[in-house]
Amino acid sequence: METATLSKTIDPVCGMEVDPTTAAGYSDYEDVRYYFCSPACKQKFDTAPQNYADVSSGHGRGSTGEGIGSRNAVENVFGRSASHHGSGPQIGPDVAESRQASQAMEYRTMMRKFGFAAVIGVLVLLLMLVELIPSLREATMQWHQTIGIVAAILTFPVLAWSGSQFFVGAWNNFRNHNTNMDTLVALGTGAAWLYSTLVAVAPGLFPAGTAGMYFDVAVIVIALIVLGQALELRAKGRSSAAIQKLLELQAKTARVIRQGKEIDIPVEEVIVGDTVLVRPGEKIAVDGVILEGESAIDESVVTGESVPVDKKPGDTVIGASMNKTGAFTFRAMRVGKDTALARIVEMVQQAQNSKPPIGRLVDVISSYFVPSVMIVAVITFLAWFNFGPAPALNFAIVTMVAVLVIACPCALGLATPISLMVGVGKAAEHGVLIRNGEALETASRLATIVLDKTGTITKGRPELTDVLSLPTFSANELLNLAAIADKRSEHPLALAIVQGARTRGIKMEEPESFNAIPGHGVEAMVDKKRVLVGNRKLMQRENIVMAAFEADASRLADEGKTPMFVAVDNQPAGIIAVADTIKDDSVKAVRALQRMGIEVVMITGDNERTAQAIARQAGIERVLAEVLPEEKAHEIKNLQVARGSEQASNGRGMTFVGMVGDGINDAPALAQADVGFAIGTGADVAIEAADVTLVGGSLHGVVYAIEISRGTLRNIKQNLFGAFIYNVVGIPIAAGALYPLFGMLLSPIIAGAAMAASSITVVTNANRLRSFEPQPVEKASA
Amino acid sequence: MNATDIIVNVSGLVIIAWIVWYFWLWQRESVTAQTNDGIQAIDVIVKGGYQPSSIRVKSGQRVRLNFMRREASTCGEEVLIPDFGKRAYLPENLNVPIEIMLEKPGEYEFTCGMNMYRGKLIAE
Repeated sequence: METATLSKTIDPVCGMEVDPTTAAGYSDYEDVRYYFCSPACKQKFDTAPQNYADVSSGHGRGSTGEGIGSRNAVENVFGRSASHHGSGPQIGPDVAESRQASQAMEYRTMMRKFGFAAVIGVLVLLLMLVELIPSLREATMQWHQTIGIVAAILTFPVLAWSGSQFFVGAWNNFRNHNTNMDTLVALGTGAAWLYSTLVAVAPGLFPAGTAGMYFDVAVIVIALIVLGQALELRAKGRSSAAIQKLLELQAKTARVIRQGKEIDIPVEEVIVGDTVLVRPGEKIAVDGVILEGESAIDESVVTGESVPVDKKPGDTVIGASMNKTGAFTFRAMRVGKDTALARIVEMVQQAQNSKPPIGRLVDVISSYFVPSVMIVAVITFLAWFNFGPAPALNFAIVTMVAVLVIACPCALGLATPISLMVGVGKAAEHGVLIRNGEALETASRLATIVLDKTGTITKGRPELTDVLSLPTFSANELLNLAAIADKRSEHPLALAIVQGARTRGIKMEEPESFNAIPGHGVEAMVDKKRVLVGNRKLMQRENIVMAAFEADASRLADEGKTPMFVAVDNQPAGIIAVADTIKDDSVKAVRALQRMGIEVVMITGDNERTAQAIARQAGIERVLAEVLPEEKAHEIKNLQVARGSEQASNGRGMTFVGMVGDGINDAPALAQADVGFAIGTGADVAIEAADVTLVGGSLHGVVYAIEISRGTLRNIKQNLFGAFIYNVVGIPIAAGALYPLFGMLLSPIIAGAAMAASSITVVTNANRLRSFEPQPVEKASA
Repeated sequence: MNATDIIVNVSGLVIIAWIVWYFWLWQRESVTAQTNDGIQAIDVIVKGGYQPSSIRVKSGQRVRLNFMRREASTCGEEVLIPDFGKRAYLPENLNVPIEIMLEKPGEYEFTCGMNMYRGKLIAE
C-alpha cells in the first residue's frame, strides 16, 4: 500500500493540509491511502473517489460537472485547475498540449478543406471563363445549361464539406438569435450558389441577360476564408507564446531527501517541508529556504534580471530559477499553485484576459455588427435592383454577396485582446507584472510618477560612505575602533559601520565593555580605550568639542548622509558617515522617465535636507519631504487634483499619476495612485495593492512597464483603426459606391480575400509586439 | 414599377424588419442557477451561442458555470469572463467548470474569444 505522501498530506476533497497522525479518517483507493480533515470530507470522497483521487498527487481535477457530460476538463487553457480547493495541481502543460494537438489537427483539416475548395474553384473558374469569352460562349451555347448543372454538382461538395462549418455555425447561431462571421459567409456564398443553381436549372425564370452564374464566387470565397482561418489559427498560437515559455521553465523533477534517502520525484509530488537537493546546473523545483550550502542562482525567470544572485543558508530560492555554481539543500516552502512562478503565470493570465477601457466601444459595436451588415446587404440589393443599370438583378446579387463576405467582425473582436495578450506576456518576460488591461492603458498615459525614496530610489539600507579622521589615527584605525564599539549594537547605523569595516577587510575583536545610549549612540571600551560613537548630542553630553569637524558634518548632511562623531578617550577622533545610497540604475531610470515626458517626483518621510541631497543625485527636481507614511496617499491625491485642474485649464495633457513604492508600507498610496507600481524582490510577487509589480526591484522596471504599455496601446489602436477603416471603407466599396463615379465594382472574390486578410493582419500586427524591446536606458538617457 | 418590383421591394423591407426583430429585439429568457452544497451551478451549452445566455444568480455566493461546447466551430472554443480575468479553453464535448465569486449585485458578461457569443450573469 502506497500512502499519498510521507509526512503531511493534502485532504483531496477540501485541499487542507492534514497530518496523517491526527487525520479524521482515511480511505484507500487504487492502492493509495488518502487522509481527511473531517468526516464530511471522507464521506464525500467515498461516494465518488474518482473525482478526487488524484488531486493530492498533483494531477488535480476540476470540480465535477453536474449532469452535463461524461468527462471533465480543467479550467484553463494553460492547465490551471478549475478546482477551488487549496490543493491545486502543478501548472502542468497537459491542457495546453492537448489544445495544441487539437489545433494542429484542425489546421490540417482546414488546409485539406482549402485544398479541395481551391482545386474545384479553379476548375469552376475555367468553366465560368468559357461563359465570359464571346467566341467560346457562342461555341458552347447549347451546352450552357449543362455547364451550369455540372458546375452546381462540382461545387456542392465544396459548400457541404469545405464550407460546412460556416453553414452549421450560422444555423446554430440563428437558432440562438445570434449572428457571427459564419452567418455572413453562409449567407453570401449560399445566396451565390442557390441563385446560380436556379439559373442553371431553370433559366427561363429569369429575364434575358440576368441569368449569370456565380459558382466560382461561392467556392473561391470559401477557399480563401478557410485559408485565412487556418493562417489565423497558426498566428494566434504564437500570441500566447510568452506564457508557454514561462510554463516550460518549470523543473520537471526534484531530488528530495526522504527518510535519509535521495529520491528523484516529479515536481508535482514535492510537498511543503521536503528537503530538496540541488546541484550546479540544475533547476530549482519549488520555492524554499536554503538549509545548507551556498550558490549563485540565476533568477531571471521571475525577476527578468540575468545577473546571478549569491545565496547562503537562510536565503529564499525561487522555483524554476537556475542553480549556477554550488550544491545546496533547501526546505520546500511553497509548492504547486503557491509558487512564485505559478502566481506569476496566474496573474499574467488574468491580465491577458481582462479588458482595457479602449476595448469597450468595440464590444458595443460588435454586438450590432452582423445584423447591421445584413441590413446593409439587403439595402444594397434593393438599391441596385431599383436603380442599377441592366442587368440590374445580376448587379444586385453580386454587390449583395460582396457586402456579406467583405465585412469582418472578427478583426474588430480580435483587435484588443490579441495585442493585450502579447503585450502583457512580453512584460512578464522582463519581470514586469501588469495586473489588468485597465492598468496597462492608464500606465501608457501617465503624466507624473511619484517615487518613494527609501528602497525605491535608494537601496533601502544604510551603507558606510565616508571615514574622516584626525592625523592621530589612520582612517582604518578609526573605523576599526568604531566598528568594535558598534559590534554589539543592533542599530541600523551601527550595523552599517560594522558591515563597512568588514567589507574593507578589517578584522574586529570583541569590545571589552559595551553600553548603548538610546538616542545618542554607543560607549565601549576597546583595547583599554573609551570609544564613543554617536550623534552631536552624545558629544555635547560628554562635553567633547567637535569644532574641527563642524564643516565636514554640515557638508555630509547636505549630501544626504548621516554623520556620526567618534571620540577616543574623551578627545575628538573623527567622523564616520553612513547613508542610504541610491541604487546604481536609479539615475538612468529617472532620466529615461523624464525623457519620456513624465514628471518625476520624490516622496519621503526624511527631512528636507537629506531628501534634497538624494533628489539631486537622482536628478529629481520636485521633492515632497517630511511626509508621514499615512499622508502619502493624500499627497498623491493632491497631485492628481493639480494635474486635473491643469488639464481643465489648458484642455490638453495627461492627468494620470503613478506611484512607485514598496507593496506593504506604501499600499495606501499605491492604491490612491492611478497606477501603483510595487517594487518586489524575488519571490515576493503578486502584491495586492499594486497595478504593476516589478519583480526585479529595479526602477528600470517602471520605464519598461510604461514603454510596453505605450507600445501595446499603440498596437491596439493600430488594430482597431485598421479593423474599423477596413469595414467602413470596404463595405461601401463592396456595395458599389465607386460604380457611379468610376464604373468600378468589387468582385465578391476580392471581397472574400480582403476579409480573410483583415483578421490575419490584426493577428500579425499584434505578434509584432513579441519583438518589442525596451529602449536601452543608456540610449534613452543620452 | 411592376408587380415583381413591388414584391421584391416589399420583401426586402420585410426582411430588414425581421432582422431587427429577430436579432435585436428578441427578449431572451433568464434561467436561475440551482444551489447545491452552497454553490450555485448551471450547465451552459455552447452551440451557436450560449444556452442559456442569461443566468440569474444570487450575489455573495459562489457560482459554477459548467460549460460544454457542443459544436465543431472554433468560434466558441474559448470563453472569457473579463470581470474576473477568466479565460478557458473549451474542448469539444468536454465539461469545463468555471467557478467565480460574485460579491456584488450587477451584470457580468461572458463572451467567446472573439466577442461574438455573449451571455450574462445577473447577480441579484
